[in-house]
Amino acid sequence: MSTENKKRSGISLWLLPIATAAPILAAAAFGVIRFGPKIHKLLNILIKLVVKA
Amino acid sequence: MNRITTGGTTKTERVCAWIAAFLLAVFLSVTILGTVAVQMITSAGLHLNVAADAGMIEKQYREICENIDVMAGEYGFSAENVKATVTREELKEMNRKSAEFWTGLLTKGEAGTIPRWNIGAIQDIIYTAAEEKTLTEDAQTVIGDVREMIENTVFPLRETTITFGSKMAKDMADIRGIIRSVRQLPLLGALISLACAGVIALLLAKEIFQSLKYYGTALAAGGIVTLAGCIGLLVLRSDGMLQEANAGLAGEFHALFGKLALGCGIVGTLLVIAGYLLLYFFSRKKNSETAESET
Repeated sequence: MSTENKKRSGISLWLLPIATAAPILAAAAFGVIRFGPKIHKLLNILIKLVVKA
Repeated sequence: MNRITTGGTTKTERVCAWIAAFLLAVFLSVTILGTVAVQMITSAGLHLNVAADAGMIEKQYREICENIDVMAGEYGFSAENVKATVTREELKEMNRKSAEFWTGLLTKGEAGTIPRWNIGAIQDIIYTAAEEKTLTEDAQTVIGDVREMIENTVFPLRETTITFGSKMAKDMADIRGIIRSVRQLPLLGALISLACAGVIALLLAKEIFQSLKYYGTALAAGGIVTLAGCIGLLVLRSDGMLQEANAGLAGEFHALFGKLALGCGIVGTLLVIAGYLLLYFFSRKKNSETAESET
């Protein structure tokens, strides 16, 4: 029996997209947690400078 | 070890194909989200579309009417007469001019003419009130305050900061060049995605049907990331930061982010559906091949 036809114990075919998206989402979440508050603060200052109350 | 499978694909080729599929998912989502960002910055059509948003204009109209009522009580003029001069059509026109200002600023880096509210009709009403001696303040002060209130609702930005900021930015860098380059980024992302798809096809040329699994996974993963980006846009949409600064501008951004999130959501969903359809075809073909080999 070929490697391809063997019953695999690995990840299900339907979960492959989720497994592929997980590291991208994790990296994005890390970026948001790490830099989000700083960007938020900076934007807040910029908005106060440009926008009239 | 470089095991060769039925179709003759080596393990190394499969690993490389997985890497290409992962990169395809990354660049697909980056291309879609990048297109959304570029649209937000440079699309005149989108800005004009937002400017004509009926919900936003209605919100501005109600806010202006409420403020006129408050000011009429404070200054002693007829609120109804002043409210009659403020129409939704005129608000739409001012929003259109604001959108043109934004587009000019964001695409050329030049602050154009700041939109102004035509105060003619309001002026006559205030002067009549001044003649009838019902005003509590000088007519010019009242006219100025009413005009400022209407303009602040539609276009609540500090003129001096924008003019000075855009001039400074223009002196420091080639804004037009930077914007032109930014516009090309989604196209670059699309080309890299296409290259990744090509690499998968080349690596799995010996057993084409296997590539369905890789394309399906990449498309669906790209769709999932795009949908996450869409959720991010909706979170930004409901962020209280702009609402605290100015309710009118928050309304404009609310409409803009809503339209972008909708586009992003549709594309993301289509990608997920397309990806899972490919995986379904792959699964069916694989099952039928397994059944054949067993018989």
